[in-house]
Amino acid sequence: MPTSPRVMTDRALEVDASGKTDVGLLRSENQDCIFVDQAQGFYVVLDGMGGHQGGATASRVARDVMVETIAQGRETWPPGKLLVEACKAAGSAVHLQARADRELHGMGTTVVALAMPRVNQALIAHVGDSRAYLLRKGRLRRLTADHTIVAELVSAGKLTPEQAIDHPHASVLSRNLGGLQTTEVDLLEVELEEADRLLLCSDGLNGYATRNAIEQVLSGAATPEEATTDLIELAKRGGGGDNISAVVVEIGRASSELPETIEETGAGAWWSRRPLFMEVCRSMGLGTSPLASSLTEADALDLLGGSFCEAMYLDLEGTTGIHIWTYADSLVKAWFERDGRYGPVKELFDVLRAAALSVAKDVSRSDEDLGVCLEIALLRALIVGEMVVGGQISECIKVANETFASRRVTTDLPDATFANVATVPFSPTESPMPVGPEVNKCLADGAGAAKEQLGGDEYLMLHAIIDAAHSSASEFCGEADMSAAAIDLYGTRLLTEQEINPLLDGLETARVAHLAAVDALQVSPVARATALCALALAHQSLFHAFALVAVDAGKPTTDRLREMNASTSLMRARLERNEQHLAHFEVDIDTVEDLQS
Amino acid sequence: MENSHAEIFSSLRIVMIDTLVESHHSIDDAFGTLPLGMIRGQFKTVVDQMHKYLQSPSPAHLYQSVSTWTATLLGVGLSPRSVLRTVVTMGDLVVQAAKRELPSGPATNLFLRELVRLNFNAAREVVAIFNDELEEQRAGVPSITPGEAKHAN
Amino acid sequence: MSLEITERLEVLRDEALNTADFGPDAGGAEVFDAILSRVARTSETAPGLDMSLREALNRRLAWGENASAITVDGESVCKRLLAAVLRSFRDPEDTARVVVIIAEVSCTAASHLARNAVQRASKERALQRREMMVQRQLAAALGQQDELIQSYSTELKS
Repeated sequence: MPTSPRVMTDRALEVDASGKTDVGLLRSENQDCIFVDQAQGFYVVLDGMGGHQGGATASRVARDVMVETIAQGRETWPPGKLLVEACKAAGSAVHLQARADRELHGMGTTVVALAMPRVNQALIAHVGDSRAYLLRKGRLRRLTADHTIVAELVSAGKLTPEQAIDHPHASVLSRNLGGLQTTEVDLLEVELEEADRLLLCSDGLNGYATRNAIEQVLSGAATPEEATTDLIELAKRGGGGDNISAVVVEIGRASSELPETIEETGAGAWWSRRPLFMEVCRSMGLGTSPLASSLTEADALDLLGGSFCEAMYLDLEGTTGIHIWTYADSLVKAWFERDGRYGPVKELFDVLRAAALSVAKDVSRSDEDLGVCLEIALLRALIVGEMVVGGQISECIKVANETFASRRVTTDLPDATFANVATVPFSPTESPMPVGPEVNKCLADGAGAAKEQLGGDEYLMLHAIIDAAHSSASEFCGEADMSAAAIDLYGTRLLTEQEINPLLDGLETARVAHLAAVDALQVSPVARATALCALALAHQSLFHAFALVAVDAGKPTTDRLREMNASTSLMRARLERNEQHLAHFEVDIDTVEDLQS
Repeated sequence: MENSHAEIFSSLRIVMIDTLVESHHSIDDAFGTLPLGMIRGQFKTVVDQMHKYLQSPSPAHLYQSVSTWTATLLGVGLSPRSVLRTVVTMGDLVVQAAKRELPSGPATNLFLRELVRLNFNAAREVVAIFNDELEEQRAGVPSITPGEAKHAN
Repeated sequence: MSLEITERLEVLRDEALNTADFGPDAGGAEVFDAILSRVARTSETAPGLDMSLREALNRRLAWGENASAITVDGESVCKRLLAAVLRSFRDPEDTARVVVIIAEVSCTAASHLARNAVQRASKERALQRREMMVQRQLAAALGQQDELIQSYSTELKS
């Protein structure tokens, strides 16, 4: 969404705002939704959920209802009450629509809404895990607490903060707009000061960017529009696994100590010493770097040194690392894709660092403190460069590892199938214990007792697991093939993380109950030990067979992805070839035209 | 002097550990799965190693600390890329904590520069370690076998 | 559990890992170590021990080892260790306790690997979606290029 024009809302302070939303890198649809009305001082971020179409519908319906409610109720309700009522009306509308349309059943949305009745007063309403942050004097403070089940259990004293950290449902929402007919909305009020910046965002931002990075980008951007653009870019660099939305509202002009020094004088000082930087680069042989071997020395110097100098200037001016990132990423990626080695890259960055530090040293001669601050900023930008190089090497390691792993499997175990691709092959099969009638009775009694104990909704599955283990233990009493039982349990679909957990929990519950039941029997110690051993073997065989089925089920996805990557590469290659053909055609046409004329 | 940078760092030790522990979720999601006690212990080690380096900057010591950390973080389940990001983020958090706690001025800036230099050197070591690993992988021999990584850990 | 049992298990290490055939770096050592820790440190909580085992398994996965191979390694080590324990332990009570612990550790490892496989598949499905989008864009660009090439060819021929 484009930035609205800057407006004066108070004699002393002015408000500037910008909002942007982006689909991210992995999702095909943007289910987030934002609203920015600077004139009315009303800003909203919504993050829809609920499968195909549901999420997007929920966030858009909620936004429209909120905007309408705010417009209609402005004269009759006090601002805080109005904001809460708008959220509730939105929740109710989403709920009704979800009930009316089966395809939208279960949809809902989070919301974080900001109303500014006065320029120094912020009212924030929120439901779910979309967040509001305040940047004051360069420090970022989170204003909202996520509405998750675990957070609510902690505040109710039913979980300790330590237990909450490991809780398997740490990110499950306890509230959203649309899940129920009525929704409880949290409202808070913040007194604003000059130069404060407020950030409203969906979890696609805070889930993929560290708080520290958000703080840096938010405090470093010159304008709210620049901040929203950079924040979205930041989340994408962090993986961009979800839709990303950010609304930034600024009271007056934000600034922070160190960046201000750099912004006001450091960037200028850097740029004015460009000749010095280039001279050091030239004298250290940057123009002959293998990374630009196809260029003349002057062109290479300009490409490698000149572009770095410019990128650094832009980053110093905006106190971000984005331009250096882009510079390093484009150079290094292309180099490694051509199978280049680290050595020349390291040399390149060594030269750039030496030249950059000589500039900082030169600045120190006239203003020591500025020189120190400039060196800090330069080093931080160079760290960004290292991260790009490291990221690229990590990619190469991944590829090399996959090659290595597949080579191990194919060369060491030529007849490998999913059941026997081990680095240690099976020992010869042996029956480790004799099975007498007492052990058999012990196993039968144990299975019966365990099944009696296990009830609940899942009892059919638990009984099936116990039956499979019992049958294996009593028949084979040693090596057992539990593949069939594992396949039955897994089913025929590719399971999600949520779907596999109950199955693994069931396997564990049945195992514990089964062994405990046998352990509690009044039989001879030898019979008990033998029965326990047989059952332990059977249950662990079932667990491992299940794990193998799960691993095997994912393999077609991996293979398909590899195929897709390969076909994408082919398409890219064809695109490049076509470009060359087109260039040749253009030359031919020019020649023909010349001849004709 | 012990030197003055090491002394300043020592006075901020607790604040820095607290900052890292408070921000452990932001450093990497993988830390969210570890018990808080274990996390605090790990961050204490990191902060103490940084202090030791400021006392007597030795590349050998830095390499040792960084390689141990790399193995530990891989053990927690981080990918190589995340390991580098984690090392840089921890360094950044320490710089931010120092900036917050110390009065602004030339002396603080000199101290911050020392910390940023350390962070740069640490990042570079991690990159070099991964490059060594890549080279060995390309040659067909893994340099860090699971067993070796465990001992380093 | 007593130190003596830990020591007796330690003696079975080579047999369980089959180091005679596969050397000191035989797969599945992480599972054997987890069993030893579980037997030795009764004061430590099971989640703490799980953590160490998970770390070790993650490390192998992080270096790109095949998940099926890691699973089978763990199972093989536990089977060999069970057989060795039954043969070498005399007291049935001790045997029973060790057997239960072996099963616990073995199943924990398998669970972790199964979860990991599912997580990986989820991520790869997401990457597939992204790849499809990229391919759609590339296909559109290729179509435009083809049209242009066609028109240039016609122009040159005429």
